[in-house]
Amino acid sequence: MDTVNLYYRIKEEGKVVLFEKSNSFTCQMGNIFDSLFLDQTRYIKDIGGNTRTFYPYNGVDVPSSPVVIGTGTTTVQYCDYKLESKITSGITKISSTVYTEDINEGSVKVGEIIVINTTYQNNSATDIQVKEIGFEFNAISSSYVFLGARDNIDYIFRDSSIVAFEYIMEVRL
Amino acid sequence: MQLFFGIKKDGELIKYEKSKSFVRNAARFFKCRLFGGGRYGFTCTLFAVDSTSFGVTSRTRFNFPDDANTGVFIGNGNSLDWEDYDLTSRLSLTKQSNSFDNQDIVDGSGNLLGRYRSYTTVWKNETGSAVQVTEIGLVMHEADTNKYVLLAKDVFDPITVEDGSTIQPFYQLKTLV
Repeated sequence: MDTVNLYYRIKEEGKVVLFEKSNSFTCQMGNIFDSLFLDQTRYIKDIGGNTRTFYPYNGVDVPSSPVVIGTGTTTVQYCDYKLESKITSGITKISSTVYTEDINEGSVKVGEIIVINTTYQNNSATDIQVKEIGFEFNAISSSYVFLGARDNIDYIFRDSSIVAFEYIMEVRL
Repeated sequence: MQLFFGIKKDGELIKYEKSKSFVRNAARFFKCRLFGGGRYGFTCTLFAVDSTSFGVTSRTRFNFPDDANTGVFIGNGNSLDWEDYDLTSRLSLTKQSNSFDNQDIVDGSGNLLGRYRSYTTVWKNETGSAVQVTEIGLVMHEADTNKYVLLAKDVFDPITVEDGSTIQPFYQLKTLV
């Protein structure tokens, strides 16, 4: 059992249709961990490819649409800093949220999960072949966006459907 | 991201395995520092090893100085609970040093695949008799509040450390594609 597990999950009308272990956090997120666990400055690339200086006391937050999807097919690399081809039109964000749940074994609490959710509707008038998924976060200031994870997937986002795309971070004994 | 722990005795690696876990402090830190904190109504309280509590803020961050209160501590307790804030029973060996190491993981072509981050403390047994080690825990220093916080803990079968021997427990955080 890993100690910090990252998963992605897709739900159609509340029903889970895809649930997989994520490849990993990107090195952008790794550098944030470095900074926060060493109290040292690190350099991270934003989704525009610009190198930004991250100080350990810089803020980190969740953007309005944290989970992002795309059509790019390049194999995931540790230092990916953006989706290869993020879908920015033809879909509408319905909602997004972050919530946590306890993990219990019987009556004993053994961990927690953090769910990062963005729900989109496909209004492109055609099915969309989703080939990549990731989550983004804000750091330094709200104007800078960074990619925290990226995974290759194969999912058909049907026209007019409403689908929840999620990343789940699990910390447990 | 995976957490491992290992133990060297007199310089020889005698144990290396996946850690049982980060504990609740780490989960609270991750979710409140990285994913919006109070904006989503999360409980953002951490507990220091002295049981004092403090809230996670946007300035909360940890470091690993070579001081008396930070390190990979050793003990002879054998319980592990998600809400542990310290080792069950710390041993009073002589602390030699804390160190941190950051190591890239690359493939044969030099492509970066991930990174190891290792936190190590060296202890020497100068008690005059052998001791049994059954638990270790990673205690880091919170830079903004000057608190010391347990982030990970593991228990295992007894390891005997003879008088005059050194024991070198370490935690290793691994991110890898």
